[in-house]
Amino acid sequence: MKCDIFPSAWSAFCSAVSERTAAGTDFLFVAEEETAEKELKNILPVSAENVFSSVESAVMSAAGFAIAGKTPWLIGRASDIAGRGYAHIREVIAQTGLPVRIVAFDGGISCRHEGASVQMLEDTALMRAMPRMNVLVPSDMRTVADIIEKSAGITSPFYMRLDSSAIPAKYSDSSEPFHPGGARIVREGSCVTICTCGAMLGRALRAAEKLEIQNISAEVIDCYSIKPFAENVLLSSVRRTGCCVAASEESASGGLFAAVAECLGRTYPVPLRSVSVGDCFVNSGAYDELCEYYGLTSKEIVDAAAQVWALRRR
Amino acid sequence: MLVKLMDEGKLEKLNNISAEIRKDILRMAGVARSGPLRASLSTANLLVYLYWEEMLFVPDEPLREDRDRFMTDIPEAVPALYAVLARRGFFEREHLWHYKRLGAALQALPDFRRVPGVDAPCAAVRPQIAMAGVLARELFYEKNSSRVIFLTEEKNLLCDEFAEDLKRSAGKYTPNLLAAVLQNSSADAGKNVLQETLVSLGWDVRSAAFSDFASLEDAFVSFDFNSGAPKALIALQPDSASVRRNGALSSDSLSMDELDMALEELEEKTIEV
Repeated sequence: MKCDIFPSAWSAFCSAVSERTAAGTDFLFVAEEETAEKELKNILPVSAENVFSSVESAVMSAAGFAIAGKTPWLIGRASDIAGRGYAHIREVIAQTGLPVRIVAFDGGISCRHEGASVQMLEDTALMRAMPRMNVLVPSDMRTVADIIEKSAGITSPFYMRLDSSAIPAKYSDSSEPFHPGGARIVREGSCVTICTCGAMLGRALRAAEKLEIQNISAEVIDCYSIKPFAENVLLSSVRRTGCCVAASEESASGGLFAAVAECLGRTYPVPLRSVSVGDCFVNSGAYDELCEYYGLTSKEIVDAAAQVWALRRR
Repeated sequence: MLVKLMDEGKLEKLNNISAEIRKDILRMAGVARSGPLRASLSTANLLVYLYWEEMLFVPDEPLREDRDRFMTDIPEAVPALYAVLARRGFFEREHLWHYKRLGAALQALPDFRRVPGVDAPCAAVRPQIAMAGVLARELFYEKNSSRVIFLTEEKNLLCDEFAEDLKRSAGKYTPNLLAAVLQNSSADAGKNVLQETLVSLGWDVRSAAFSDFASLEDAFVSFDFNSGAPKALIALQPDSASVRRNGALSSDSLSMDELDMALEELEEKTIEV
């Protein structure tokens, strides 16, 4: 995996780090040996002495840095970090609330050629279920940069999933800035609420344009903070629209859809549909083919939105 | 030839403290109706030596920057650590009798941000040496004189990953890191293998008997924590350090009768010493 010319959340992160490093900001990156050699070389300034033999050791070391008063950034593939490192993150980072910033790249199906073992779609669900762990899935360059800027003020651990597929163009500077537990209304509408995050935001915006042609005005919310979740933003939107679609490049269980469903089911039940991957492991393949096959396109969002819009109370 | 530095008076004092600590561990397990006992009882001597003779700290200032840090990846040794910290004045002994209870400060595994004197999480996941190594390195880079003492078990060395981390720790400049590796004294053949492994990984190795404070002192005095390789102390643990209950080593909960019997047995052992 490399930072290519197409903008992705991961390449946005690398660019933001490079800019800040050039400006004199020091980052303490911790990574596993194989990841550091194959994926991070010449991309991020990972010191050789902060490279460890395994994901488990890297997690432990990140905790060691945090105990010593530092603010480490633990970098790795989503499947390595959330899969192999889960028990370690749970016991030494989340339980103790150590301020370790966990950055997981190759989230969702963006690591398209590697197959099911690397394309872990349940990472956000696992991390969301972990007590004291915050989960962020940024969708644009500005949010990624904001998270880096404001991470010093975040005293608890967080897991940031970065997709390696293209993300939409940068937001306008006037849009609401990032804050933990926040969400951003990217497009205003009155007929259906579309909650999304990560690489799906671009497809949600395209879906909103298609829905506009059908006279369905869609409000698109970038839910970059899956935990804590911006319930107020969601509720104020669905009180106007009366229906909702949650679209994300992840497993339907436990991720963004679950956060939306829990909030609405508890507070304000409305028709709700999910556009995400069902209860299955994904195949390898071309990215567009995978999106098509697993129903992660703007067409599925349009269909889901039309369904909930028809079901809403009038 | 090492000179015996510890006088009889100090030896007696440490033996008495150790006996009291072990009684407290038994009482904790008795009140909580839950162990673990075996590892706690057998590590009591080492912890008493560390906390009374070796480590630098101020109980009233548990977060003091220049304190020595203690870490362990043996959850079974946690009751011993609690008993030692209480006796050393980090918190009231009263807390010991609420061990493992809902809402109590002293949980099965310590909350290191809540319990004074606990410097790091004690997790059941391994390898925790990576955490200890990084902490030691950071403290050393900051020109802090603090040491990091990491209590671990011999069986952890059988794990390749752990060995790899040990190798890496030796490659980095961490003279202030000491790994105390528990080993059963009956495993003489294993002792050589362990020692050879650690030496081959670049560590400065000594061995000492758990139950012998003088031997522990000899080993510690011979270490130079300001320079050189990270240190390892192979701590030989005698089976006799544990309490026997009807001929079987106790490792789980104790009934009140069993607690009385175990305390009696400890009293007898203390008198023999």
